[in-house]
Amino acid sequence: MKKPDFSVVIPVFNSEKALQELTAQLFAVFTILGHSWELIFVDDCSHDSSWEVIQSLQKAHPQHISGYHLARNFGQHNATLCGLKQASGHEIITMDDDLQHSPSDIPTLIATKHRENAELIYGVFPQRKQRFLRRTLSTLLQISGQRMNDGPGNGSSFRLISQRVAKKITRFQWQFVYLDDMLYWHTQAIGFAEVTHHASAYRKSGYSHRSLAKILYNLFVFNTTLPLKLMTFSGLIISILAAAGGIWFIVRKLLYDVPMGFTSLIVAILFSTALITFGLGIIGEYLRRLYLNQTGNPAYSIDRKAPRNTKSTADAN
Amino acid sequence: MRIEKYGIVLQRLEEKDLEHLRRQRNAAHIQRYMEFREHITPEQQRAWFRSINNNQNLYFTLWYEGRSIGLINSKNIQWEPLESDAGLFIWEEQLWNTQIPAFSTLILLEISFLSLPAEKSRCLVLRDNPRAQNFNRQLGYTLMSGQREVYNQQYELTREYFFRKTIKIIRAAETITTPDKNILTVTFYPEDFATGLTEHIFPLIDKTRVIESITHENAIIYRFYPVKEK
Repeated sequence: MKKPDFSVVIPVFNSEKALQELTAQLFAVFTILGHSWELIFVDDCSHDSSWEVIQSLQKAHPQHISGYHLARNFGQHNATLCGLKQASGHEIITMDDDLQHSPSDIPTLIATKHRENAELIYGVFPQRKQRFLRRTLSTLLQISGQRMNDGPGNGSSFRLISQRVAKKITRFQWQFVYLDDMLYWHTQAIGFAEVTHHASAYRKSGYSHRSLAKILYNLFVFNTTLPLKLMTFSGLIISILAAAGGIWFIVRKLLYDVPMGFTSLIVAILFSTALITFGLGIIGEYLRRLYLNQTGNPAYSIDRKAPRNTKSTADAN
Repeated sequence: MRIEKYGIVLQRLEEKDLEHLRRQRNAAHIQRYMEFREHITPEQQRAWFRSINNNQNLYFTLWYEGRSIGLINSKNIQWEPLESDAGLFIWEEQLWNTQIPAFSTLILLEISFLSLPAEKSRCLVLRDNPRAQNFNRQLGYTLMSGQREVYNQQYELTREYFFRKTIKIIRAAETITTPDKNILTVTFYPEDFATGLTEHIFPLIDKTRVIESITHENAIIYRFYPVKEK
């Protein structure tokens, strides 16, 4: 079967009311564009009847739509990753399920990708129609992505991803997925297209403030080695300071009149602290390396090739 | 592609419009203001259409109250940085002294400088056509250097002049029209996607000015905020 030009991956959570309209708009856009496409819904264990709606849509458009239902609520990034694994299109679009991302902006993503020859295009909003706390947490999340993997830190869940990059990230075996962190690992050919941010008529963002904070925590603890790096660094610094403190107390004992027993006690405490924290620092470094190996994160990622021609014409002469 | 504001519609020129356009263009009251004043044959008209029916030349028929009243164009478009040559003629003589010619031009200028990031717009005006000279000066165009003695004089409107002068006229135009006619609406049809026109336009649209983008069965529609509201 011929691969479609585009796969649209939509993680769904409690969006029963939006799915019909979203599907209709996507059909209209791809009819206007004249591209072949498929639509992949991944229901992240919704509490409403989203799954029933997905099933009815799939029955109505079996050539275009497929649906997947997750056994429990794994979160938007994990659900999107599930959809990416099922996608067969040459290009993959990910977007929200509640029409905050308008399908009418898909042509803008495509045009920007062609213009900038990028592998990943983010649809970004010029004016975010979000409350202060949510905006702050989202921004913090993006900046974290930027700091941790040298990414541009200005992403959104409205993305156009080349098949090559999508294929690579679906090989990851992580439990705690932060998609943009994985995308930044595999490509630097990233572009941004301004899109219209529609205040959804259907519901608020599926992320509560608590969920956003939880993602931030997971990103920090599970997707980076930053805590381990901090442990190693602080261990080494504290051990140096403790050893220096111990030496200073010995010098003080030799030069000044210090009460009996004080120097031996403080020096014993400081040197043992120095040894323990130094040891912890070393353990932290070992853990960091073990962690990197365990995640299956590749040591490198090739994005293009110029292979040697094995059928040499010169040799024939 | 279809553009609408102030009750005026700009509809991308199509082959079916050519004969009507040719008859109007050959009329004496139009011909005398054109540099090329000979009779245009259907063959010449078709050849001309073939040469301009592309993404570097956007010609629109103007519609007002259900009838076609003229032709407006943005030609020789350079997309980055965005620059083009504007042109207009209204064949209904009774509309010449109304606000319709100015409103039609303002629509095109609003798209160029506000919805899109145009740097410059140029236009050509005959030296012996004071009405057109005044018209363009009032909109913010200035005579380019070295053009004083030329018969077909070139004027230009820079981005700076647009924001200094033209935008005030757009605000005034919005004030004297009803609010429902103050929303600039641009509709893109499948042929605009097929020809690659939207590949040029979509990435350049200033999304902060978009009220909404709507997907219909056979079109994508952008609606822009009135200038006085932004």
